Amino acid sequence: MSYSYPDEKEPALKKINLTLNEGEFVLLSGVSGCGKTTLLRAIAGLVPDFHGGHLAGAIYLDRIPLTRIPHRQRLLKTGIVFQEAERQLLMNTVEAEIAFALENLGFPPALIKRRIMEVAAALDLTDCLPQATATLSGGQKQKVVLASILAWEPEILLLDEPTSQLDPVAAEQILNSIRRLNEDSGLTVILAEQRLERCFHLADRVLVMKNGAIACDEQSFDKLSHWAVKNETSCLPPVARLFAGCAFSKIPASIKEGRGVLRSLAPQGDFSPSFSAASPGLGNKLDAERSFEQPVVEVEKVWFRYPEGKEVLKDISFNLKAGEFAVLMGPNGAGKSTILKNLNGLLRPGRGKIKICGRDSKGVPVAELANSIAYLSQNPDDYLFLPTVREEVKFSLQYLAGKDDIDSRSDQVLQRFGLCRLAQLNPRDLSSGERQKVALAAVLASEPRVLLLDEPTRGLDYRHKEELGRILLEMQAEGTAILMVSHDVEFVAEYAAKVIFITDGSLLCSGSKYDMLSSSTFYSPQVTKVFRGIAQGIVTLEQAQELLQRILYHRQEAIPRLAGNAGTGEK
Amino acid sequence: MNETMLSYRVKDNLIHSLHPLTTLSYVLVITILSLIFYHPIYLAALLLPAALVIVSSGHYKEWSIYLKLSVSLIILIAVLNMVFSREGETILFTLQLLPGMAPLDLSLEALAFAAGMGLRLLVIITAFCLYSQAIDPDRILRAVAGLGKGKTVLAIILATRLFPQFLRDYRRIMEISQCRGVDPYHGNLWQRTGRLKPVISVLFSSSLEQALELAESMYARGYGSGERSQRQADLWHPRDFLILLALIIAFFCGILAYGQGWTAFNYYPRLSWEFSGSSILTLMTLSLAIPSVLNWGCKRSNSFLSKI
Repeated sequence: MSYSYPDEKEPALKKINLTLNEGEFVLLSGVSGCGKTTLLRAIAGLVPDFHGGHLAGAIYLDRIPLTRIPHRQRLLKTGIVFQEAERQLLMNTVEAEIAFALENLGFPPALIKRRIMEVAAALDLTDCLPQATATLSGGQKQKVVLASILAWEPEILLLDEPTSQLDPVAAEQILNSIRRLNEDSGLTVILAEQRLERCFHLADRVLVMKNGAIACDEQSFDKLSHWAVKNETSCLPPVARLFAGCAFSKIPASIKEGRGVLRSLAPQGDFSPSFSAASPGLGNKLDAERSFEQPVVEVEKVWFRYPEGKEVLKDISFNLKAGEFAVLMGPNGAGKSTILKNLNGLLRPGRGKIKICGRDSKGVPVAELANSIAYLSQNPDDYLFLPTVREEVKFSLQYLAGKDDIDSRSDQVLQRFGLCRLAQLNPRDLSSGERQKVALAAVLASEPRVLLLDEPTRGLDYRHKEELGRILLEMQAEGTAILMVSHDVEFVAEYAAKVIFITDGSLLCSGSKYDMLSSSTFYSPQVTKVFRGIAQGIVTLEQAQELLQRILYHRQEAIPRLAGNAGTGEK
Repeated sequence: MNETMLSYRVKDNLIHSLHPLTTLSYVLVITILSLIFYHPIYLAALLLPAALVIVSSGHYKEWSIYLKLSVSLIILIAVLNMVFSREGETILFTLQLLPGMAPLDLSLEALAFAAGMGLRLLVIITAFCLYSQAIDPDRILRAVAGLGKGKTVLAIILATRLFPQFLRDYRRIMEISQCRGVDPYHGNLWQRTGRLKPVISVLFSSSLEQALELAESMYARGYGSGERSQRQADLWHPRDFLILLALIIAFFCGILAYGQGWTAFNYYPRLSWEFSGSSILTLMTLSLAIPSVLNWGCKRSNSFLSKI
């Protein structure tokens, strides 16, 4: 099957040959724009029915061509959940939202009521039924969307990055619910996801897509991992990449398997502390130097409440020095984004003080603060309104950095962000990762001293995340203070230095990522979980690989010695 | 403009317990009559009961936001009408805007006409306020979906869903604009309008994208796939019939007054303060005030609501 969107020369799906079996949990992986969403749409019948375009070949559902199945009959078999819950919610209350599809499909009233009751109970939404959808948290909204699909009990559930906006706990809850339905009811699940660490262990089968085609289709993890090592390691979760990087012949797929392998290598758990990389010397040195510097961001006992709302921020205090890279983490609705908006002046604290570059931000207009504090919100599209990428960068320079030498300065910015080849293109025509980069280039063009980022890795694939991480580390090295809100534990573990945990508007704890992430249950990267109880302070993949190689080296040294001892004993 | 103005919140009173089509009928009667009435007393007679319904249903705060918005619009209408209207004979004062330019005569009639039209605007905005605050969008969509089908319902769903979203997006994009160093509140009107251009550009692009995503989500959830069912039909209570009867009386009173020419008003060339049909006007006003009277009764006695 091949498919092209209307007015597009290049097909979005190319010669797909695929058979999906009943009850399978299929993980769809691949970089942004590789065709994952289009494949899900094709299975759901949304292309070409809703979007138009040209579909060559055929899709069969229970051996009947999809085109011959009426819309309603097709829907009763397939349900699709899109990426952004906010943009799918239609009705005012949760109950009405869940009932919407059932009413559309003509279910009898008594059955509608029963299905609402059952699905709400299954997804822990019973108390929310009379609530307005606008008042729900991100995780609850995603659950409501899922419930509205599951209510009519489709045979195939198609999910397009359903956890991209969720904190690790909420994401785990959603994925566990889906897994339970897959196991208990035989529901066929096809899940497209970028954050593989969250769902890899759930899948029975993995499809890797590349340029609109299926590059790899494996049920055996061994075969997949060997293919990935040769072709595309980014389609493996961090735990698998850890072992693949150390040339293991059998690569573990889950943390449990990874720990099993580590335990078999060192049953006594004697790695820590001699091999632990918990004390990065360079980091400590930089921290010692910074301790005498004046902070560029000072937050002192800040309280904030929205009009007609409860207290969102309660007594928040922290500092950020030049060249520090800190991350605000915590559950959805904890107040993280509100902190960022208080810093850049979009919101003003009810009590407390915020100083930016030593100056009290009280009464300073947002546009004036923008000279020293840049802000990239969750949606990069909000920044893109000019016809070319070059003009976007020039716009920022014009308003924020004065009117001198704008042409040459914009060229420098474009070069730095690797955007020269895209300079004359319309930013809205670019891929999500490229749009993110253009928005970042636009806000950083004026060389601010502080950079605020709200969920910058949302929807980005591994390649774009690595590029973003590289840019942020460069900014950090140049002395820009970075404060980021993120649920992406793996990204935070790799690139940030400091983690501040926020919950219910209060600062829970803060410290280096080594202290914060290694002592957390849910907010810890896969490599930390693999080494938990074996070696402390392992947070980055590089650290973990270095440690694993040392372990292997020591084991190789120890084997002849042990063999020698054994030999002596025998004598 | 803010989201409070457009977001429905459930309240425990008689107005919120009405059948959505009853409340919709009330809004329609007020709007239709306001469009055919010219006489300021008749327009005021529509505004008064509508305002009573809003206040008694606990939406004074939201209504006051609408009122603030209306005042600026009314002032704009008055200024434009006084400057451009030449039909009035009672000259209040003469304005010399620029040397060499013909002087502008500002008349009492032009001012009165603007005030009359402002009053009409106020009635329509009050009716819209009642629609957005007192009618549950889910219930009205269910009711409307039962009456008709196809594109009209789709348009209503998208509009009711996207307009509050549009306001949220506007606010968010304005914030982003400020974060990029643009001060939208600085400079003269021309400069400020110029700075809004990028905001509007992003707003329209993202609204179109959102509308498409929402439509796709509706399609994927079976909208338009065939005949719909309803999990729960809204019940008709005696209070609905009582209010609908009052509305019929009010509507016929209004039509009668209109047919008799009592609702007309001569603003030009000279104001003529004629007024007729006081008994019909009183009956119409009292009929339109029935929902607020019933609501008041329910507040006084808990058992009253269950009786009606």
